[in-house]
This record gives sequence, C-alpha cells and structure tokens, in this order.
Amino acid sequence: MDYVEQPNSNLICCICHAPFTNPTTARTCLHTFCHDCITIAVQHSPQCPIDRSSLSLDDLSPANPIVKHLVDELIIECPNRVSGCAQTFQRQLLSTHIKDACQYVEIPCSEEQCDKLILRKDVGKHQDACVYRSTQCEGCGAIIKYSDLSTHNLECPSKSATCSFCFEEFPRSQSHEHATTCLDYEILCTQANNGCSWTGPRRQLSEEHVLSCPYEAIKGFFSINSAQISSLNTENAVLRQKVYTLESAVQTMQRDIQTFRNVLGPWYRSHTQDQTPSAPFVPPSINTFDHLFSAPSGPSPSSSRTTAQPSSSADHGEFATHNEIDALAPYFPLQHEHAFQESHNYPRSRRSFSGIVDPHLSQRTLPLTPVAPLNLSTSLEGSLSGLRDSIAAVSTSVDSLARRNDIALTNESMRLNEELGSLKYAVHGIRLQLHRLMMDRNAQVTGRGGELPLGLPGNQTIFHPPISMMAPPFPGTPGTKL
Amino acid sequence: MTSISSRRLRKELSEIQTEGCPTGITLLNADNFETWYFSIEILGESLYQGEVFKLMFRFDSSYPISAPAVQFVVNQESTAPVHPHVYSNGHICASILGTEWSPVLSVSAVCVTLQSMLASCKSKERPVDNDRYVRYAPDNPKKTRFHYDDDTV
Ligand SMILES: [Zn+2]
Ligand SMILES: [Zn+2]
Ligand SMILES: [Zn+2]
Ligand SMILES: [Zn+2]
Ligand SMILES: [Zn+2]
Ligand SMILES: [Zn+2]
Ligand SMILES: [Zn+2]
Repeated sequence: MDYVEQPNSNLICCICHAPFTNPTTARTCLHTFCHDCITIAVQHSPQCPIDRSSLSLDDLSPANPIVKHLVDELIIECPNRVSGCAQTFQRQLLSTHIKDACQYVEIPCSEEQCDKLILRKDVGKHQDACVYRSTQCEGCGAIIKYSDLSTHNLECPSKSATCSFCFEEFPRSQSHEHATTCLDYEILCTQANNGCSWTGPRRQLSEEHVLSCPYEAIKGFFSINSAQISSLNTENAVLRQKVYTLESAVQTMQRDIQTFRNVLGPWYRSHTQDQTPSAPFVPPSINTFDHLFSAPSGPSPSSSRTTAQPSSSADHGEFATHNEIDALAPYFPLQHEHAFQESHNYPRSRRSFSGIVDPHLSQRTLPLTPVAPLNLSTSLEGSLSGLRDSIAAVSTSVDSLARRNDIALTNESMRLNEELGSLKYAVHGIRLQLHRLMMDRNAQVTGRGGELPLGLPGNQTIFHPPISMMAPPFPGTPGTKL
Repeated sequence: MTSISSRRLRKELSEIQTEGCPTGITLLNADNFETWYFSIEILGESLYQGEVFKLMFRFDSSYPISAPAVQFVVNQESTAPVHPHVYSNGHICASILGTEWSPVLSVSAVCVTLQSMLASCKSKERPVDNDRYVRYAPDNPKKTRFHYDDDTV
C-alpha cells in the first residue's frame, strides 16, 4: 500500500514499519502496534517489543478510536496504479473501491462459457464482442449464442429459400415439401433401379420419358424377375449354410481319419496299396523287418530265419501268400519240435532233482521259441487272429508242460520218500548204538566218583548232550547213499 | 509470515536507500530478502582503526519477530575482527542477536550496535573457547545457544 503522503511517524507500527492496521494497544505499557504484528510477536516472546516488559495476549486491546480513524483516513493510492488506475482514496475505502469502482480490476465475463478476464472498464466493450453473448435470430426470433449464429442461419426455418430449379421462393421450412412437388426438380427415372440412366425435370418424366423409356416397357418382366431372384437368393443362402455345415463335418471327419491313421500306424493302408503288394506300406521306423519285404523278386536269404520256413522262389503274384505263410507258419511246427525237445530232455531234468528249468536247458530251447515277426503286409484282422492262434498254441504247450512237470514231481517225491525211510532207519540204528556207548561211559565215570575233575557232586548231565540234539538226521545231499 | 518479513524488509531497504546507512556502514548487496551484506568500519579512536569488516545478514520468514542470523564474513578477502565476543569463524556472541532480540530492532540498529561493540573494545583477543567452538560450530550462528556473560554487549 502506497501512501500519498509520508504518514506521521507516530502512526507507524515499529514491527512492520507501516501505518497501523487494526491498531492494538498494550494495556500494561500503552504501546501500540498492528493487531497481527503484536499478536505474532507476543506468541513468539511474551514481552513488549519496545520496552521488554512482560506482555500477554490478554493485555492487548483495540487502540484509542482516534488512532484508528487517523490511520483509516490516510490517503492511499489504488493498488492497481500499475494497471492504470490513478485514483486515490481513504485507506478504509480500499475494499469498496476494489469491489465496485476500480476500473482496472479484472473480472470474469458474465457469460458462463466465456473464461476471459476483462478489466472492468472493458466489460461493456467485451459484451458486444463476446462470442458467447446471446443474440436473437432476426428470422425466427429464437435466442441463440452468437457463436451458433452461422449454424442457425443455415437451418433457421423462417429464412426464405430459393428452389434452384424453378427459382420459386418459399420459407425454408417448406423446402422438403417443395422438393417433392416442384415440376422442374430434377429426378431419376422410376426405372432407375433397373438401369435407366435418364434424369430430367419431374414434368418431363410423365409427359415424355415414360412413353419412350425401354425399361418402362418391360416393367412386368422386371417385377417377375426380381421376385425370382429374391427367392433364389433366399435359397442360395440356405444352401450356403448347408455347405458350411457339411464342410465343417468333413473337417471333423478328416481329423478323425487322421487320428485313426495315426493309431493304426503301419496297418493303415490305402485301397490302392492293398492291390499292389509289390509296394506294401512299410513304416520306416520298423527297420527290423524291412528285409522281409524289400526284395519282392525273391526271398532274401535271411528270411528263412526259422527252420520250419520253407524256402520258395516266389514271384510277384505269390508273394502275398508267401508272406502269410511266413507270418503264421512258424508257430505250429516249432511247437511240436519244442514239445519233442522237452520230452527228450526229461531224463536230464529229472537228474537235476527239481522242477526248476535247468538254465542250460532253457538256453538250448530258446532259439526254437517262436518269436513271430510282425507281418505288416497282412490286414490288422489277420495279424490279430494270427496272434490269437499263437497265444492258444502257447497256452496249450504251457498246459502240457505243467502236466509233465506234475508227473515228474510225483515220481521224484515218491523216490525221495523211499530214501528218507531208509535214512530214518539207519539213523535210528546209530542212535541206539551211541546211547549204549554213552551209558557204558557214564557207568565208568560214576564208578570212580572221587576223581571228578571239577569236584561236582556226581552230576552226569554235563557230559550228556540232550537227546533232542541228536534227533535230527545229519544233513545230507540228496541222492547220497549211506 | 513470509509476506510480513518481505514487506518489512522492503520497507527497511527503501529507508536505507532514501535515508542512507549510519556512518561507517555501507550496504554492499541486498538483491533478495534472504541475504544482505554490509561493510562496517569503526570511525574515530579504536583498536580497529583502518580495518573494514564485512557483515552478513540472513533472514528467514519469521523476521522481524525473531532475529536475523548475523555474522562477520570470513574468507580470502575479509576476516572477523579480533574481539572477545567474535569467534574466528565470524560468529558473534551478542545478546541482541539472541534472547534480547526485539521486533523493534532493525538491520541498521544491529549494525550500529555491533559498531559500538567493536569501538568499546579494550583488548584485541579471541573468546577463550574460540578453538573448541569453531571446531564444532554450526553454519548458522542462530543455532548456537550463547551464554551472554557480559552485560556490556
Ligand atoms: Zn511496551
Ligand atoms: Zn505492524
Ligand atoms: Zn483503482
Ligand atoms: Zn465473454
Ligand atoms: Zn432463426
Ligand atoms: Zn422448384
Ligand atoms: Zn427411364
């Protein structure tokens, strides 16, 4: 705040060095300060800043009204002097001046949408220029924003419009109506949908063009035609839907077939491959059996891997049959041979004194065990029935083997029983002899009682092993003759 | 508070500029309302004849309710006066800068008080605890609690 004249130094607050604002006097020492200045100072340090006498907030009271009037009536310059206000007035009128009178205060535009701040002196000027000011349409009388005026002019219903064809003037509100009735209005032929490219004033259509329009002449055809086309379109849509459904079904089936193909693996053969056995499907992963099929002109030497395999010089035509034999033949002849071998080995296995198969024996029989090569050129059904047959054969041979083992076991146990009986008898004889010997010796010892080495009171049990210890027969290897 | 301190300092500055500083005091720099510099010399008969010292005032937003931080500037160009109440780092042990401060005091009042403090000095010597104080002294002398043992200051 700038004072027009240098204020009297008695009116200066010694804290802020400016004329008092709300002058406040300390009741104790009668010093006067601004209300805010002395309040802060006393809160900081409870003493008078001038004479250091103690002072509290309770000691403060408003200064003498004369002092208040003196400072309030000091003439100040308007704070908006920099902006251009040259007014000076009493200090107490400052707020009134700023609020109502000062022309250099920025105030907001009264239009809500306008965010401009205008100096009060320019408010009138701005109100005429503000793009958001309200204005009245001269035609229809509507109150609109100035900024919307140009948009409104285009659509104001009261403004007259001129037809560009007949040059007739009419209110804009009737322009749509006029377009449908104006005889000079340029329109399309009624058959434009069917291809007529004629355009012209409305009056000419009925008077001239309809008579000459080639499309108009076959109007009936068009209606029938379009009805047909629309029904075809409907049908087409239905068919398209069906095709779509079928396509997805086919895709599902293709996926299924692919799955089957993967599951079947080498047994999957297409129909054409089935008819040309010279190129059977051989999956590359099963290399072991490649040699069986890789030389269709003749059997490979290693294909007769079992003795029962008849070697034949099969040509192309016989090859499939040959393979059938190749696949199934090994089971049966070998089965007989194996059975024969078993019975031939029987005496030896009997000598081994157990039902456990002698390792040497099984090693000898192993090469003769039929391990059927998987014939991939047969049908899956054929292979399965072949496998079933071989399982049946194996179970038969297991059956007969079990029976033979039964017989062998019975024979063996009978023989063992006999041997055990004779052993028992012999042991019994020995025990009797031993008992007699021990009795003799005991009699000798008790006869010379005083000479017991340990001085025990004549107890003989020390030297007499319990009978039970002697009862079991000596462990002997089977077949050992006593 | 900020506006009170800056309004008051603006007033003081305009007073200094219109009326001038007390004799022997010169305003060197008052570019802002945070730090002012003055030069100070003792005119007339004194132990500091011919010596010029530099004073630094630092104000915070509580000025003038609380005292400014005042000290002698110590650098290559200037030193602190050798005085029983002036430490070699420039800090001053004067009660008016501490407990005896009053909002009524002003920058030029402080300058004059310090001037008379130097003028009345009888022997040029450092405070007895100078070395210990300087070693641990804070940057701002207002953070030090001086014990004012000499009523003449
Ligand atoms: Zn007082
Ligand atoms: Zn004040
Ligand atoms: Zn004004
Ligand atoms: Zn506006
Ligand atoms: Zn309108
Ligand atoms: Zn028209
Ligand atoms: Zn036409």
